[in-house]
Amino acid sequence: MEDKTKAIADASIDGKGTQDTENLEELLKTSQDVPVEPDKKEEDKVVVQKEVSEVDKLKKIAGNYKIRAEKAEEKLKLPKKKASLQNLSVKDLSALVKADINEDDYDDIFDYAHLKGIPVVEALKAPIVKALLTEKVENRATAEATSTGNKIAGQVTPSAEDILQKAEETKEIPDSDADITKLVEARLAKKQQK
Amino acid sequence: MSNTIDSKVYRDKYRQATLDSILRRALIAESICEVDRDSAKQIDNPYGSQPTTVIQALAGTYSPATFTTTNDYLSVDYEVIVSEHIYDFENVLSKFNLFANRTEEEAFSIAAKIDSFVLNELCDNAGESYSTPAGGFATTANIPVIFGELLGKVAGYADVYKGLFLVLESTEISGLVQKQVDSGFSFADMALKNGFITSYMGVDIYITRPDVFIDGTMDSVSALTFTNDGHRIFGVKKMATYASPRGVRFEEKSVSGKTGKEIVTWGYVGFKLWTLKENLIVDITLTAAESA
Repeated sequence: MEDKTKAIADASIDGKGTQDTENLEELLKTSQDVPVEPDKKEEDKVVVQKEVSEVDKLKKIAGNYKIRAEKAEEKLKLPKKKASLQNLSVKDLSALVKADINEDDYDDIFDYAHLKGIPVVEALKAPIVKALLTEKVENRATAEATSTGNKIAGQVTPSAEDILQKAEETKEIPDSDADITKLVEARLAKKQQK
Repeated sequence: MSNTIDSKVYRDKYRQATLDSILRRALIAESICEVDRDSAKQIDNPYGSQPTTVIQALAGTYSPATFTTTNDYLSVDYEVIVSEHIYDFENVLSKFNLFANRTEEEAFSIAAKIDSFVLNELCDNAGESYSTPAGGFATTANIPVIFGELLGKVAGYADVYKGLFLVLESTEISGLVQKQVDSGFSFADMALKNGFITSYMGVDIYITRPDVFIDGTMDSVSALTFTNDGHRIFGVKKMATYASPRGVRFEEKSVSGKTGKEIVTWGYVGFKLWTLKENLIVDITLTAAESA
């Protein structure tokens, strides 16, 4: 191929250029048609080199994967800290507040988050946690309505009539100023009714 | 010691609550006057003379008026006192109702005296006067006429937004009630259902016991001599000030030479209808019904 190109170049230098233009074009055509055969040895060498570099690359990648896997394994081996109100992130805290979670249910969420090794925000999104929370809310509402369980009954505020009756029976005067006023008003109201 | 009336601390607590409650509920003076309970025994309210503008033909001359100030002031000069010696004190304390009733009676007595003092002073100092048609408030037909004419006395003054009042004695209520049950459909229905309505034609009506408006001297205090029998008052609320420095207080004490306890309840009082507001209070003279 190199010889043919040389001949074309020589022809143009000889000054026969214009007359030989047609020959030159023919020569060019033939030069394009003839397949160029590479040197087999050199080609093999290049292929070998490519393969070697590819193997090196793969080796490097495999090494990286190994390191990553080892790191991940180490992480799993380390005992993970269980989430608590004291070590919650701002994100977790705001998620708990936004979801309007009852304080009694925090431990269930923290347990799930610890078990799954996920943050509290993610645990809140888990369907199992959602179902548990819904059930607990319902239980609480029912307990409140029926006053069952270990709920301690709140202090009952005595009515004005109760205070008056107690005073009339036992001469007892309430401690708070508000209740004393109630007592006086109750007496005056009773007087007006008579 | 338990928290019963056997303990003085609780007796005092109950007495104070009763006094506060009754004075707040029963005092007409509280509703129609400004009430001042701070420690001041004199409240100064000076005012300047009113400037007068003239219109005249072009001359360029003028005669300057002298600007004067007058110190209008309220002075706390009186005290209301009720005192009792209860010799069989333990017996009185044996029943709550007996003790409470005694306390209430004292508080009502104080309230009635304060009201009498304030209402007579207010009537005595009123800047406007009005005489009712014959028969006064007791004649049903007079009611719209009297209210219309009284409203005309204070109409146009800026202070009217503070509310209007009319104080009558209980003997005059009959004519007013008859008029109320006869006044339009819904008002009559309301009056028939609920009884006497304490507001009529935009005026809040307060009823005192008979003989609050007096002719004579109040409890021998010559400065408190009035000629208010047969008079009533109407006007704009909060034009006068009733002062009772530190409120009404009481003391329960043992008495030398006597068994039992002495209880005294007292309060300092002062009253002033401010000079510039005198015309917003009307002294009503009740005209007797014509004899047939």
